[in-house]
Amino acid sequence: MSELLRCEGLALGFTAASAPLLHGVDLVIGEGEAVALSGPSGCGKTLLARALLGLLPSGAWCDGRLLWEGRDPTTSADGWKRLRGGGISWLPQDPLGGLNPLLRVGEQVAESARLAGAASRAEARGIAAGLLAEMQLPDPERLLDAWPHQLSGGMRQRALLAAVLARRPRLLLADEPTSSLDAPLQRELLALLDRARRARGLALLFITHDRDLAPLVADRCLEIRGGRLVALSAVATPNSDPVPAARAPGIGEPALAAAGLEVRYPGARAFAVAGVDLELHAGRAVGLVGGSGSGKSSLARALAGHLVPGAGTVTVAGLPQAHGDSAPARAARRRVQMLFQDAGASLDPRQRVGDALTEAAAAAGAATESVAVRLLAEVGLPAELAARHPHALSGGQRQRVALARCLAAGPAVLIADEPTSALDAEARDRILTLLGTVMVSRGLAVLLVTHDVDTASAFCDELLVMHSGRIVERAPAAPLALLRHPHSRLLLACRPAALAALPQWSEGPVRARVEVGGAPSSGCPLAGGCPLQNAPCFKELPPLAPLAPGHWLRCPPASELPSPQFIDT
Amino acid sequence: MIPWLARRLLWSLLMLVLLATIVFAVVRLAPGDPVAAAASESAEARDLQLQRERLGLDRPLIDQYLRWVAQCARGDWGQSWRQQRPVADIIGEALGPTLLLTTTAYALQLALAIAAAVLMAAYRGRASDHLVGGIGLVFQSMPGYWLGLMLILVFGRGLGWLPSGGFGSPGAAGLSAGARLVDLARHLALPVATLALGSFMVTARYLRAALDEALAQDFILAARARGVPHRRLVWRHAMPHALVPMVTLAGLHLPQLVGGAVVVETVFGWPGLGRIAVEAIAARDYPVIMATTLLAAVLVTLGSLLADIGARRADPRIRLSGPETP
Repeated sequence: MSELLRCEGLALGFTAASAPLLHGVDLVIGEGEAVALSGPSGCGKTLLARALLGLLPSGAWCDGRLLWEGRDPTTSADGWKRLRGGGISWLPQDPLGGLNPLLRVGEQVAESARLAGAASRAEARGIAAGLLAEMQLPDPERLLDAWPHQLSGGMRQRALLAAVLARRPRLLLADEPTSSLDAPLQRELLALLDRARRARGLALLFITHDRDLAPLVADRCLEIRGGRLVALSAVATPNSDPVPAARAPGIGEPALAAAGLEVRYPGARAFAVAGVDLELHAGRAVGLVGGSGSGKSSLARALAGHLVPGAGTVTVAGLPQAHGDSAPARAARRRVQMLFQDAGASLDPRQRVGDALTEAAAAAGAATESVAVRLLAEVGLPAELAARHPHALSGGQRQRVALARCLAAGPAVLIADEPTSALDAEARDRILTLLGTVMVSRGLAVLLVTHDVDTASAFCDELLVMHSGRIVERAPAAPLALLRHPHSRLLLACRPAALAALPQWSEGPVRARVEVGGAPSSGCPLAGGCPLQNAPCFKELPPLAPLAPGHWLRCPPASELPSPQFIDT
Repeated sequence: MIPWLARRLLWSLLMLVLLATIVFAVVRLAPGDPVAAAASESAEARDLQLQRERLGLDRPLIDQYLRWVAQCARGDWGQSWRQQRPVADIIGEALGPTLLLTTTAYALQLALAIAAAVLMAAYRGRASDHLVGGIGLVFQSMPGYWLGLMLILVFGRGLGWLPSGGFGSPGAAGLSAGARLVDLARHLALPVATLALGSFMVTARYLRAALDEALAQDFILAARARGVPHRRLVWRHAMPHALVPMVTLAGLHLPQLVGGAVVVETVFGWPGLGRIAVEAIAARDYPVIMATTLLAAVLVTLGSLLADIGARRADPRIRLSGPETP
């Protein structure tokens, strides 16, 4: 195995910071070798990738020796230019931002093929179509003329991978390429990446904050700890319940109840939320899990009163959820607070933390001199943070401030929409522990919306699995092995930890996802791609029927099986 | 698209009616008497009064307004009081030269702006950035009439390369078609340069900011990491993002060009709408003032309408699926 990339004593950081983020980095990547690099958010993983491309952001510096096949790309004027794309290439995290929205998909893939030496436009277009087909995208010829926004998130990331591969790189830096995808989509992309890599002898540096993913894609796993690269320690992910156990069962009047809730966006063919009933009780957490586009976030927003449902009712503490700008309606909505995934975007960048908290408390009629300090203390933050602006906080601190702002309104219900998916494992556990503490101390009813089944299982009392706008399974949060619906089983099987147990995980067909809206109008939306399908599945939608105490299932074939394990294929 | 367009057209029409009303009111309420302005010093008060009655100026304002609206609705622009011939003829003769001047000037200023913006954005912080910014600022800060006079002084009088005014050389009518075109282009050069040089820097700064923003996007970084050359990143990847808002800006730019043309047409003796408007205002020739103002308003409204349609066409995200908001 000949050596491609060698770093010796690499150090990098931001000019404004006193200490370097990374120092003494020695890294060698050989031809065709796959190396995984994990580490918490903000540890310098992405900065390292950009240093290896010679594309550091302004305000960042890099020091030390960097060699590509024994030569230093910084010594010649066009060293980096010759290296980028054909030597080292980059697959970014965000499939929304990675493709140019004003250029057709085909042009972006063919452009790379042209740069890699395709003789003519026609030849480049042919190569592009072939790569889109290799990425198992449907109807590649037609897709060449599609605009990026017409593709789903998973399809976009695959098209971007095609554009990267068209340039024929020898080392690919994949920077969290799947962190915005749900588990089935993540599995699809990883399988495609793995196969493409093996077929081409492509070397890979896979950057992730998910330690479970690292061994799946790489021959060698490294970790950033204390600003240095070290071999990944084989620590099992802590599987302990981060929340104090023993909670009151959900009896009595629910804090929030929804019945027959429907949401349909103008111009959409299918319902985003199609007839959902649910109850949230004080002091209990319900996990809402499902893939991208399953309708989780639309349901959450309808419950919070942020969008007006097409049909159905939402009742908060016995009173109907209200819309509009009247004082009683605003007071009613205040009872349900929402915590968002991107705390940075949900806080006003020009407003000091203390002002944001006081403002929220004042709206609820509870503003006092010390309210901001009290709220900060409740979420475990020091009082001096009140004077700061959001940009001067870490990701975890921002999410705590966002939580404090929710609490300032004195809510009965807290809806947390993917509150931890932008955070690394440690920050995630800390936020969830805090959320559990606040839930118990304030008697909040919590709905945790997430695509991470393990997080939901560890934190919640009950799980709701959503698909195509419907609840397909309602079950106790643990153990996960009891989940029975074929879609629930798919979500479980695609978890990195579950995939790691399969030696040939990247082989076999990569399933094209059934597009929402392309499903049969009556009948089960999963019918057609489901291992348990039979004739009645295509005819009518099965009801959510009781299976066991606390367990409901919308799949008659699955409920007849003796054990859930029979469903896995 | 169609319901949106219908709403948009209705709004434009409403705006024009409102504008016509305001212009009518302002012109009539402004001091100055068209009859006295046209009459000789020795005219008798009785003659003036007769003339007022003949033009209908003695009637109540609301009555005059309604008559004018009815007249406009029939497509009759009336007679010029000063020139004693139909306003439609006067406008018809002037419209062509003005449109020629403004569209040519707009095309040139856009070309200059794109060149300047690329030099500034793609080579940010280097000598070309500061040099272009400085030159643009100099032109931007010159008043149009002064810049026009300086260009006449240098290229017309001093070097003698270009004619210093007018729409064509005397006797140009006798030339061949090709020679007439060259003659027209030579006469067009200085007024167009005056308009374009004075305004390109505003567009260039917008474009530069838009280019800067586009070049900072993740997809540019991703394309750069795929080895796409810098030149192609600027022109093919980032430029469309900068030009989409430019289509809207073009509509907002039109009034500036039409307004600028008034001064430039006067300086260069260009027989366009602007010069006619200036002469009409001096003579209190109400029918011509109203007609030129309204025509300018129609042009501007039409421009912004076309710009809105263009912006929707230019961005595939709006064109194909976007929410239809007014």
